[in-house]
Amino acid sequence: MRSPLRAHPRDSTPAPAPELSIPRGRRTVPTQTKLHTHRIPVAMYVAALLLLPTLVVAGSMSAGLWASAGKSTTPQTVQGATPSGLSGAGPEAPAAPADVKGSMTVQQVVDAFSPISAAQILTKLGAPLDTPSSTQLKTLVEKGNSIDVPTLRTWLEEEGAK
Amino acid sequence: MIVQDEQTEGGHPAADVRVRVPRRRPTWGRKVRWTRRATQGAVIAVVGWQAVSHVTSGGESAEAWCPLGGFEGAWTMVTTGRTVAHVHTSSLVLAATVLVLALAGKGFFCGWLCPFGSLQEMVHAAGRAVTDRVPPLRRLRRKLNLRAGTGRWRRIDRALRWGRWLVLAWAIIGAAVTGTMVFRVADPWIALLMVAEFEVSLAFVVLVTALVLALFIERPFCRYACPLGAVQALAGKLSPIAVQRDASACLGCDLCNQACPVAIPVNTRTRVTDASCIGCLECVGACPSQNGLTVTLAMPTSRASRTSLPSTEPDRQTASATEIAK
Repeated sequence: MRSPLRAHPRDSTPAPAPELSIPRGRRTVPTQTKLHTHRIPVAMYVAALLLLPTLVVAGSMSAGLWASAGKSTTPQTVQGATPSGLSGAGPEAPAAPADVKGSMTVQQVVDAFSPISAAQILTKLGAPLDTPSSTQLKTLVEKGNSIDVPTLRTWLEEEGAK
Repeated sequence: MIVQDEQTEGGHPAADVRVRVPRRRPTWGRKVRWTRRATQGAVIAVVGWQAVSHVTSGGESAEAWCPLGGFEGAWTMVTTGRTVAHVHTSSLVLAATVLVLALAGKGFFCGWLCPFGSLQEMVHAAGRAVTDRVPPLRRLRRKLNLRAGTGRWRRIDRALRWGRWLVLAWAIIGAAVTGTMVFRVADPWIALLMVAEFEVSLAFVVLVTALVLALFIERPFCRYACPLGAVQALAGKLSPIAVQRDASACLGCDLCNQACPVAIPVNTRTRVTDASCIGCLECVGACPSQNGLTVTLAMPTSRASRTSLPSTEPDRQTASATEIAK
């Protein structure tokens, strides 16, 4: 019968023995492995595997292979669009009005749809005409409070159809 | 060091064999566990910060940090030099990184770095805290986790694990044929990133289902549906590094099996080369024997090695976790 006044387990438990006993009554079998193996310290293994992705990402960034915005599609239908491949320098020129994104710059849109000038786009977006053409569309959309990117796409389609 | 008290000649059935094995320091397992949790927390913090900044200030999307997109867009990239929509070169770089990680450490990415896997673990921990207080729910959780499950549950679990291969085929072949990320419509990670723009979509349903199941099953999406895990399972088969069990130092206490989040019966393996292993090292951290479970590198020179010390058969091991705790 359990005593209601038991000591706390932490107080009553002796310090763990340095060795563990495998219970009696086992049949002995050899440990077989077909491979010649070497033990790896767990700390070293974890540190190496955590370092590995860091090095790969840092290496790709320094090599210019890292781009986490835009896309690298090669335009095939629209004349004037400039392919940039895997430059990692940001979004590439749109292939069609539907591909225009807020992360693209005014200059990229001008390059892709050449009859349209930067001034027209800036006016449409309600931005000052002296705005640098390297500005992203989404920045102008946020500041201008005039039209959004989908409306700009529609306008580009209409201009292209003319 | 292993000490033999007695041994019967010829290494045959010996009721009086007693082997002493060195004990691992109890703090060692905690260090492994907390290192992993700290890493998972750091990754979640970085990805969460990126997702929030994308929503609030239009920064780059956390989707650009998804390696699965790299695998989906690889075929299109190789054949046409283009990436499919929503895939950036960062995804391709991360896909290559995950492949290298899988070759070195099997599912290490899943166990230590994948934020969605970490989220499922967190949900499961919360679920366990609740269900442990409600006996019927606790029994259900144990059944579903297949640690104390019956043969029927185990069969269902094994059958469902084929799901991720099907999802992988759908994602890769679909992306190659259509040039779009077909899996994106059902990707719970995308739904989670876009949770601010609340929309009931297939991906959202998958997300909710995965998280509800995670209350009872550890990492349900990883087990049954993750295509990225399937890719790593394929690459991990070539990995020379694995957790190895030394049967002569194994106590048969079952703690490794209980610790495994994907229900691998670790104490029946010589080397844990299962496709579902996520490389979390929870089994190694849980093992009370210093040499019971270790991480080993298999050398190219294949050579049969045999320990001269007596060992135990997994099916006849009788030590309980209570005995080990003594």
